[in-house]
Amino acid sequence: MTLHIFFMLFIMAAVVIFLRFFPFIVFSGGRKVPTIVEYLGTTVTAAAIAMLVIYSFYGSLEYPLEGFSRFLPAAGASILTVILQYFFKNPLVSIIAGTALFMYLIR
Amino acid sequence: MKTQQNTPGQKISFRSLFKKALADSLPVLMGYLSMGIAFGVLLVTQVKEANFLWAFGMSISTVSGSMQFASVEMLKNAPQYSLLLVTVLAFLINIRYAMYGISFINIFKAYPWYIRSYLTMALTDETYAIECRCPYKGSTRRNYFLLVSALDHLYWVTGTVTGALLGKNLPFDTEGIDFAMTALFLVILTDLCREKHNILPGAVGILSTLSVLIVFQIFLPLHMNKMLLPAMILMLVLLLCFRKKNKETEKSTEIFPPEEIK
Repeated sequence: MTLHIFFMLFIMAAVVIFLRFFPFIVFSGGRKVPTIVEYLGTTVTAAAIAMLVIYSFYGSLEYPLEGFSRFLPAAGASILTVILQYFFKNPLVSIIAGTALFMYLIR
Repeated sequence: MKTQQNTPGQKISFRSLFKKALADSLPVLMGYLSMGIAFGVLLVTQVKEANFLWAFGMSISTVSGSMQFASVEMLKNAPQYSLLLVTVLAFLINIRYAMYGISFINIFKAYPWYIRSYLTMALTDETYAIECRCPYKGSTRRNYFLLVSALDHLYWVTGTVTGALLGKNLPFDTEGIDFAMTALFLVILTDLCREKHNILPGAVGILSTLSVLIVFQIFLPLHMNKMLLPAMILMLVLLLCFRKKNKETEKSTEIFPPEEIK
């Protein structure tokens, strides 16, 4: 493990722990929660996850190494994942089916 | 603790409380074991030097599925991620945890610091959801919270370590298995968008990332790894612009009333 990776792991854990403790430190005196904090807390999660969807989708294309050859497999696998999750609400089934379809299609 | 304060007119033994916590956390057992195994497999197949000890350490300290899945992407290409970028990303992915705590401020206040600290550290999406539905009060509630948190934590650690051990010995070619990460984020996003107030932020996240991605691909194709920070800034700016428009539709956080422990 390099020092850089160690610091990455340390920071990720520290930020999560800090965020969990944050409200207890700042708002425990009965201070009112600023509306902007409340607004960001309820909206940023969906936006950040959506960002990760696009970013990791791009990552799985391995562009430009593989050109555009993985675009259709990734798009098909994504659609399958969303449809399965929307109708059956079983994350494991959705993830395994989507990933298996992608792995099959790129071969 | 001499008296046990419960739902009115009913005493509950530790044994039956444990059974109740076990039953309530059963769906989480399924979810965490399977997600945990997926994370463990992904971690050791994508990050060359990783082993089950990494999974163990991360799951004990971080206890966050979305953070840990995102960390695989970062660890895989570690040199491309500055510590600043890691910090900002971690803040954005996990800021919701700061909202969960607000609901419990008044309840946790009555507990000793070590119980309060553990409950706070182990507060995940699923644990929060179960604790919000807790039917008890007083010390029974405190024990119930502790049991649920510890059980969920245990499921997560067990799942990720199992996955990491399995992942080293997968009998097939794992090329393309990293799509599981995209699939996981799609699953989370699909579930979030069942609630109407998440649809607009989700669309903002997709559109801002996509447009920054395209701009970088055209003008700065050698700097793709630097696209996340501008994408995050654009996303936050857009979200704040939309805030002015629908201020009255904001969802407010529920805060439970304070209580004394008997």
